[in-house]
Amino acid sequence: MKTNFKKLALGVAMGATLLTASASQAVSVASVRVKVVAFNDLHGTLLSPGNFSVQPGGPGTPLISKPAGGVDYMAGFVSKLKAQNANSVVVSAGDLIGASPLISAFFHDEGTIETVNRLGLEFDAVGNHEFDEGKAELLRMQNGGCHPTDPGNSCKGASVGTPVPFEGAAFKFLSANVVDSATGKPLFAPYGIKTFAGNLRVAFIGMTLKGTPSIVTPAGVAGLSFQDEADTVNSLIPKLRARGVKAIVVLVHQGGFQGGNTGGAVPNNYINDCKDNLVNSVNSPVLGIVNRLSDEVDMVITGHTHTGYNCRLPNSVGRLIPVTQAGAFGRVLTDIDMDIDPSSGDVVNVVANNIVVDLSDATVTPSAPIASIVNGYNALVSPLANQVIGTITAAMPNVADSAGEMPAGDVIADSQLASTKPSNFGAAQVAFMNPGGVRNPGFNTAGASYPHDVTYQETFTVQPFGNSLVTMTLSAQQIKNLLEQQFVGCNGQIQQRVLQISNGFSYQWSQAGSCGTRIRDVRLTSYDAVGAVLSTDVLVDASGTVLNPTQNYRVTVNNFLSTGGDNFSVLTGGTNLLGGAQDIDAMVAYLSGFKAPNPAYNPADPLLHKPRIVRVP
Amino acid sequence: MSRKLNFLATACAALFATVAQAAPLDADSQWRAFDVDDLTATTGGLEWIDLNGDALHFNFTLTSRAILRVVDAGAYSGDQFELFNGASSMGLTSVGAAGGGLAAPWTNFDAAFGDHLHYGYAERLLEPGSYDLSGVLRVSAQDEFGQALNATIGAVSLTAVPVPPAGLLFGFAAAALALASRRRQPV
Repeated sequence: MKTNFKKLALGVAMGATLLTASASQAVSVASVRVKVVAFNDLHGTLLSPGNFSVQPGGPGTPLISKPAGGVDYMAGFVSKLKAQNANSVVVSAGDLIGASPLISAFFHDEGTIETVNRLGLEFDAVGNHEFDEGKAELLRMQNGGCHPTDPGNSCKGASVGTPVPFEGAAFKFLSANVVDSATGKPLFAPYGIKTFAGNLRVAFIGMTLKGTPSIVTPAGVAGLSFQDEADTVNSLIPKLRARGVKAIVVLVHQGGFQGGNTGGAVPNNYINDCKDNLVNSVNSPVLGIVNRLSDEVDMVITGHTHTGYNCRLPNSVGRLIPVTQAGAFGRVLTDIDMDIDPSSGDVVNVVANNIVVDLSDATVTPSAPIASIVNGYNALVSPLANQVIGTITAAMPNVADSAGEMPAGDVIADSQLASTKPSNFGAAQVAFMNPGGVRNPGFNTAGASYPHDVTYQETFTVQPFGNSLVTMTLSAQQIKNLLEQQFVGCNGQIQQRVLQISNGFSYQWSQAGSCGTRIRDVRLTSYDAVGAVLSTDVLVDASGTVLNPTQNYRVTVNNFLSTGGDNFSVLTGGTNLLGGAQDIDAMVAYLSGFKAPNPAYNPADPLLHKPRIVRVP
Repeated sequence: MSRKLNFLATACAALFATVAQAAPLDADSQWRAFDVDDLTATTGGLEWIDLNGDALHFNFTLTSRAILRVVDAGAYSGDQFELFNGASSMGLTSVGAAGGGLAAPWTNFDAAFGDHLHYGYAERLLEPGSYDLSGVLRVSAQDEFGQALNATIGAVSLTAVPVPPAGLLFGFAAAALALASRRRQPV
């Protein structure tokens, strides 16, 4: 019987093999085109963030400002692109949520997840902001369910037309280089695989920058470790080969800048350029990653730096591979056509093009179901969002001067000092604010006329993190060390981060100095109501010497900085910590003093004593 | 792979059988892919999974006999699977020799099935009935550094056993009757 079965099986197998052989001879050898639609750093920007300036004519051509973005229009563009090719996939390179406008953040970013579900997103590499509220909350974003401690602002599906409880992501978060210490495995799947035209497989490896712990509050990354990006990708190649994958795309939440896009030079807004191959004064972190990637990687889709570019950069063997980024806030999509040879399963050609989500494009129909959800959330948040909290006489953007001081940063530091100055609220003498926490566009609403009534929503847009204030005691020497740590290479600092400081505090820093010798003339001055000097305390003299190293001061920062965020490890040495209000509440209270009938806030008021930070040669 | 891991993999497969994705399997000789990957499996185990990482079962009912084929594929040879019908073991596939390898694309299951030396396979004649087919990776191929990959792609197919045509059956029957009647003729 066994022998008979073997003969029977052999006969059938031969027949099947012959049939398949003749079928494969008929298969066309033409490549299969796969369309990848990519975006990054949406940051919960459900509504259009306003105009976007681009150089449609190429580098050096005039800037044209277009209304752009909005997740309903993004979905319209995605639909239009997908209609061109049934073999398509939509991906994101991180910071989908976190640092979001009020419409998303107030509801714990559930609206963003729900709308990108319907946009057709399939894979999202986690970015640093995905960890803003910690691992448990990010897992809830994936798996659904209502917020455990704020149910009143969660699971609003009945009002916006989505399922209750919150449905969670229909796409997959990917976190190849984020290892859960409890399991030793990635927090989410390291990669996702999609098949096209039968068995052609494309893998998407998703990662955040390895420096995530230095820019996220430590509580947000507790129990997680962040591995090197290139090493992680290269180590996964054998697994993907074992799973029959030859075509590999990396989604990494790390990026770069087009040459000259930093350091005060003229920005390059040609989103399909790759000026100086991303080499510039601060270097582009993604260069070092791509340069070490295995030759098996076919393309890199990046994020984090909010900069549009379309590059070909050398990998570990010098082969140029496509490296793209689509700006930020849903204003740009990257349209990628990837040709795969069915005889090898490998990518043989890639054509990428960054396109503006142009609201004036009549060929695009925004998604009505998504618009309905967004409108629902907008209606819920509007009463709070439109509340006027104060009036300002001029814009205060989050753009730093050559010394690093920002108009929006000054007012934030002042609000935090005001909140914690009373003796029973911390007795603070100075406040420091991390520059990365002063979000775009500052108090600089597009199209506003002045005096301008600042709304809660505008304020929240500048300070979306929900940080709380912490007042601590630092010695004069620690304050000097803290200021020195603002510069690259000084005690672990990886990029220049000039802290914003409150009224009455001032100092100079020398560009020519080295770590420990840049800071001088640090002063804490008290003024009366009309600006007359009451006292001046010199912490550091003009030569850079700390005059009384053990003299203590009460210093206010946010909880992110207090735990060593942004590599300010000096702040972990503070003593006598006292918790304070939320940063947004401090700002609301501060600006309320400038609401009618009181005079408006004038950023140029001499009583604000600007500039507070002076750069010297 | 250690016995402990074997046990864990089996336990995971059993535990998640109730939430597994059930895929149909027709007796059309077409390959249906499955994956194994301890990094993407929802359970973290070595059971057959789909591309979402969910445990994958092939559910089908046969009204006549069919041949089940299982084959390993991917860039690395040397995997071995244990097959299950529900909770009952259907035995192991063969173990492919390490060091072989398909030319890309590594999802060419016909080519893999044609390379019995390197790619593990199994054939089973299935009787009519209902089946809940799943599998677990028991022996993993190794990477270039001798590390178990614990990841692969494979495929299953069902081929109906040909039933003799009705005319042929009639002929056989007539011949048999004629033979019988001749034997009964008196000499």
